[in-house]
Amino acid sequence: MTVLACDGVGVAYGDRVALSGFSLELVPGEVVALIGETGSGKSSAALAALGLLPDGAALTGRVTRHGRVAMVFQEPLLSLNPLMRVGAQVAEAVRASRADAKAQAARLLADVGLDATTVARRYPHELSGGQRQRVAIAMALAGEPAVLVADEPTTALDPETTAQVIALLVAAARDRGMALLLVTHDLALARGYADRIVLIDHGRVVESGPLPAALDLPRTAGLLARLDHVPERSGPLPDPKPVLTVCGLVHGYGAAVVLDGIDLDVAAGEIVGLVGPSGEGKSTLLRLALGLETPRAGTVRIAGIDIHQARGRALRAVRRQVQAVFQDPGASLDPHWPVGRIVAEPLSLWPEPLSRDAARGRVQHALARVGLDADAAARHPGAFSGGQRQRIALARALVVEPALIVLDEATSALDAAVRADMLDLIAGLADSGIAFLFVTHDHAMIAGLADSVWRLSNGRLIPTLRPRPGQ
Amino acid sequence: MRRLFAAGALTALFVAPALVALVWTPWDVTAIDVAARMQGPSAQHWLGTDPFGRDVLSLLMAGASVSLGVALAAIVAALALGVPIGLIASARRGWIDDILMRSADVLFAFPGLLLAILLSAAIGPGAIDAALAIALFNVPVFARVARGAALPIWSAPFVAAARLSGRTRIGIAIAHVLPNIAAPIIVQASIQSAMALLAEAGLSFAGLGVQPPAPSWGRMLADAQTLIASAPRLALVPGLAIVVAVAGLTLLGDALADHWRVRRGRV
Repeated sequence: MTVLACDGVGVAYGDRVALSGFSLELVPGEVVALIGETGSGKSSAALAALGLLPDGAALTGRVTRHGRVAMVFQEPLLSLNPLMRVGAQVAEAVRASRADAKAQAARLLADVGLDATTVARRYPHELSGGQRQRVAIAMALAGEPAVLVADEPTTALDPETTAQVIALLVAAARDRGMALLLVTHDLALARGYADRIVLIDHGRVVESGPLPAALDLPRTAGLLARLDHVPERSGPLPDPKPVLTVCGLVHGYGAAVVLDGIDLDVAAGEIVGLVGPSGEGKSTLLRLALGLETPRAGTVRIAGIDIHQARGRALRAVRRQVQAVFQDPGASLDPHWPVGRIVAEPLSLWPEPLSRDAARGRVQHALARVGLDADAAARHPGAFSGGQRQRIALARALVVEPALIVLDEATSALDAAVRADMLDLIAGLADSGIAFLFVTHDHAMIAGLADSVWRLSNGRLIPTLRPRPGQ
Repeated sequence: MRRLFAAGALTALFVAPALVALVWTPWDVTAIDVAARMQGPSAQHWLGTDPFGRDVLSLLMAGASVSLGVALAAIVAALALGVPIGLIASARRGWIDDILMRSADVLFAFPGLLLAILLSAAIGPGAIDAALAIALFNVPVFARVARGAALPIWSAPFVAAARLSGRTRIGIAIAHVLPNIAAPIIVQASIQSAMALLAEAGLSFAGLGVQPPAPSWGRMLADAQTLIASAPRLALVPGLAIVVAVAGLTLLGDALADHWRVRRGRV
């Protein structure tokens, strides 16, 4: 018996076709992963299956549903009412009399692994991201759906919580005989949990099949290879000089202490990873290391110069040694500037004045190093994809030949293929002697790429991977 | 795009005669010809003449250049003062922000007409007094729009990258922030120009703006007031001109806002 059947479903937004010829059947208790990169049409497929397409979307083909459907969204904070206690929100979703609903809500919260007596009385903002997503799942389960669609349910969560939440969803599907459609860009995640995968690209299903056999299909295997891709690193540099020396760094906002005594060394040619949950101060540490903020105590030395004490000529000299690439490729580049001018901006830090031709030559060289054509310089950021924009941002960092480049989640907004290329690029630059401080959520990636990885927790650094002797 | 074109055409409808009037009008607007007073529309005087025998079409054209000149001068002055105030407030935050924006609030709370009366008492009524009053009234408008639009830009990563490039706050404000807030400011300037035109007409009507014999739309309305029963066209002509001009500028601002919103949506 099928609980959901899509037959030749197509979705178009005006002239733009987001999905075509999409067919899928779900049976009770089965877990199917719908896998695709940003803009592949996977969310359109999920919304079409639920009958939730926005106004202006044209649906073709046929969708048949037997029984109720429910959905869990990406950002739990947006799918919960901030002014309602979560117990009441779950009870609202239960179709029963008031007294029964309360009891049933408590049972549902217990089912998703929450302590119903305490959590039910809290408001969404008093819960962690993982707890919020559990509440959202409890609400989805309240209607006793035959099909549950989860659209990127763990993107906002850290790796440990992600594993717990996915395991919870899968267990709920198995126990209740409910079909689970897991919509995700993360093949690695799906690999561990799904019965079947459906790979979607440019609005079409390109491959599908049961696991683990489907992993050998050519497109899936290619995607897996890129996901698991670990860039080649040559050995450590002989006698690497320290580039970044952080000593006893303390910082906070108001009464809150964010960093409580941070010591960190990064040497030339080294990639140092920095991981940890959101809001633990990773970004604060980066801003201090870049000299964008002044710490309460402690020092940040770059190439031997204290970046917070330096003034005038010394400050310009130290600024030239440290550059950064930020997370959001859409906001990292001034949309009004041509790329040539963007990449040339840090050249004002060059020790001696540069002629027009010399500056242009440096810009072309930096663009070539990140694999972009020389004619990119004349175009504006809007003409480039997300991956190309991150390359432009990296070229802007490289143009002054810095000793240290700070990467703030610089690859998290990129698709698997683009990210693999970017990581190769970073590994190559590190081997040429540039030091990298890489903040990321992607533990598997950084474990393969970095020389050492640190976790920021309660304002302190904890070594998590291959710390060099003496640290 | 079609709306932008239509709004532009409506604006051109009174900007073009105003520009022509700077060098040429069909009749001399200061020449009084009692023999030809209060005539209806004819081949010589397309819109007739007023009680002093002046050609109404010439008055309308010359009035357009005076009214538009006062309004635009006021808006340019307000932009020149308001946008830097908003930029500085957004760049420095803290107490500088508080002082600048609270002063703007005080200025904003002060009635515009009272300001105009005060100024005309201080420097005497005239076009400059009107332009100054309108400009002062508009400074906080642009300061607020500039500050509000600039705040999110300051936290954009490309601004952090510019700081890493050694740019000063002033350098960043000019090179990065200003181009990124130009669109909302231009839209606001277009809409405030319409308001300024209306304010100029109001001030001149009340005798606080342009003084006779210099023509202006507000003065034409004031002169026509007593004759409204016998010669309604004398009030109708400048009244319609004000309506068209204000509608044109407002629609232009609206169309520009939509145009930029659409373009940004595509990027």
